[in-house]
Amino acid sequence: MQPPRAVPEPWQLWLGTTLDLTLVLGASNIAELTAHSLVVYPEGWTLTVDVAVNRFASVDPMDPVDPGGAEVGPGGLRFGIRFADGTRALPGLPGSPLHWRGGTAHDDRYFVNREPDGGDIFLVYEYQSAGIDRGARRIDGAVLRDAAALCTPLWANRR
Amino acid sequence: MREIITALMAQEGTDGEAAERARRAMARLEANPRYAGYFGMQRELGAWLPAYHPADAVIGRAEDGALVLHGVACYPWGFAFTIASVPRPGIEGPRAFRMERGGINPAELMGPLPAAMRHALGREFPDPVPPPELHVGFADGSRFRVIDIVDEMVDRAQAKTSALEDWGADQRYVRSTRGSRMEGAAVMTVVGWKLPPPGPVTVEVEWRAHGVPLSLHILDGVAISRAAQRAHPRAVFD
Repeated sequence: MQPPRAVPEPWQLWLGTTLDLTLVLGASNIAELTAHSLVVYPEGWTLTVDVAVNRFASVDPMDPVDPGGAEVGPGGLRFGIRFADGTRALPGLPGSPLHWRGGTAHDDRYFVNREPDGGDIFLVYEYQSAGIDRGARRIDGAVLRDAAALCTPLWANRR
Repeated sequence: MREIITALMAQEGTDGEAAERARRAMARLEANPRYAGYFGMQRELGAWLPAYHPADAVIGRAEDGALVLHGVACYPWGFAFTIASVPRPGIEGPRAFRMERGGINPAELMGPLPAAMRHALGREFPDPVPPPELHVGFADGSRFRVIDIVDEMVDRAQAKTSALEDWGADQRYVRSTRGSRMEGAAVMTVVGWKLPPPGPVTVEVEWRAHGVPLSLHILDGVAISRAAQRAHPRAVFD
């Protein structure tokens, strides 16, 4: 996991804007990978990537998963972001704008530390042990940019 | 509860004697009719992908921080939103504006435990400060003091159940879980079983320990129910 940021997190500074957006990233007869709970801030946005496992599946795809680090075991869940300018981001890499921010046994919370500039965003995923091939889902960047504009500061002495 | 078991398995692995005992403990809990409502809610949470009625708001404020509501996630069976305690930047230390759970003793819930479980989860000390007092009310006149699920589980396990309503599948109830954290904030998830009747949903919050006066926030029950129609079941649960 990356060390905490030296500056306040955006949710300490802003009332973020929740998006009415849920995305099925990939699905198989073993598991379904979804993204939801998107909250947008002027400096970036958070989302939850969630794995629902078919309780009747004959294999348990949950391991190995290392959401906080760059190293993912064979077949483990790989998640990243591709920006409109072609930049790619993976969690756990130095300088990456994609930060793991906690989670539970079946979901992970991420913070994308990049100002929504209107360019489309692609959520890139691969989860071979769950039978989910590599793929990408687009998020309309204009929606993120417009949501960021709706944020209000939490504290009176800002802006 | 499931969080406790999965935390244990994360530490112990999914193989071995300790994990097997954890699985058996989980099975005993799931088979207990007193917890049927809770596990039913957990299953429904996992079985649906919600739609959102965006209703972000600051619902409580003090000198040292703010209570921030995000959501509302809307399901055919009910709704959920989060409340984060956000310290004003620069406020650190034990008195920071933060709702944090003290340790719990799972032996209170599940009976004798393997040593590894006690070591992993048997911390037993109170919450640093009492959590916010939260009430949710509906247009039909019903009003619920929002009880933390784990606190209630402990109370039930200790047979302090006389003041607690059952978690029947056909009854409305509102519960919370807390403890999930992001850097700089602690988050409580509030889950309401059953969609609200048409009209306002009132969220009353007061946090005396941190100087938050009684504050009232209104959610739109009709908008929540309307959004719930756009939720869809997860394919793996078909």
